[in-house]
Amino acid sequence: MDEPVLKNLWDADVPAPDPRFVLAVMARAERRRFRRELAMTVALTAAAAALLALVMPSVEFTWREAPYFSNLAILGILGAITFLVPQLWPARD
Amino acid sequence: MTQDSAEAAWVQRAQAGSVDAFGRLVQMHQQALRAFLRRLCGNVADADDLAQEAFVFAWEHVARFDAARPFRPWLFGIAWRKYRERKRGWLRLLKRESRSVSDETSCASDPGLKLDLVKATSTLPPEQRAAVLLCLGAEFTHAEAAEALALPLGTVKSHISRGREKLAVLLGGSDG
Repeated sequence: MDEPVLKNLWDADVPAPDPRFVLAVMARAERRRFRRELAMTVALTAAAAALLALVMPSVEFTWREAPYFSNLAILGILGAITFLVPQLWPARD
Repeated sequence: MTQDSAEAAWVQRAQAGSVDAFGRLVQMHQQALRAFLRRLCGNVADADDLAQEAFVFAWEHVARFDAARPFRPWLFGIAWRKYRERKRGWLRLLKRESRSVSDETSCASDPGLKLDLVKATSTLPPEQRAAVLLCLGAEFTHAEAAEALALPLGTVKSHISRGREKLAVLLGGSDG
């Protein structure tokens, strides 16, 4: 049995192009991305909560002593988060 | 625009994060990859599941892919590694369940694929089978198959030569 015959036999069972297969791949990729991002968000939220709990006594003290400076610092932190998040996790089309 | 340059353009767009571009790559390669895995596995459902896994892995790692190299051997290499991982899992499961099923029948066979060629191909050792399926069934060059299977070129050539001889004997015998 030569190569062209083998090739013809194999070609006979090549699956037809299937748009549902493409959709299934993209859906699986999206599900996996969603789960990964959800896990990361939960982990980051937990870490932020723990950090806040740790630093809250000193933040509270600073707030009482220098409220103007504290408000500016909070504004700066929120601005930095707003700027950094899209840089770290850019949106995909 | 040739198919290779079109493919390179889709790869570059996918690397930039375009889901549409990756969808086009899936469209371009799904038939060949699913056919390769069906022949390797002998089971349509497992093969299609593995093909999906391979594409998803490719999508997650496409940013690290060197766009100057051909996409197809890289993709088939991923599929081959996924197949081997899955097969190890199947074998572990079979051992745990203490079932005496041989390595080669670790995928349940599909009645639709019970052709002489499928049976003959399934008797080849896994790496030899993969090399034969890539070069004789999917029109890979020896170099592309070597890249996909992470084997030296000489090993791939000898796998194909021996595999072709075995198939000729098995199929020649069954043809009468």
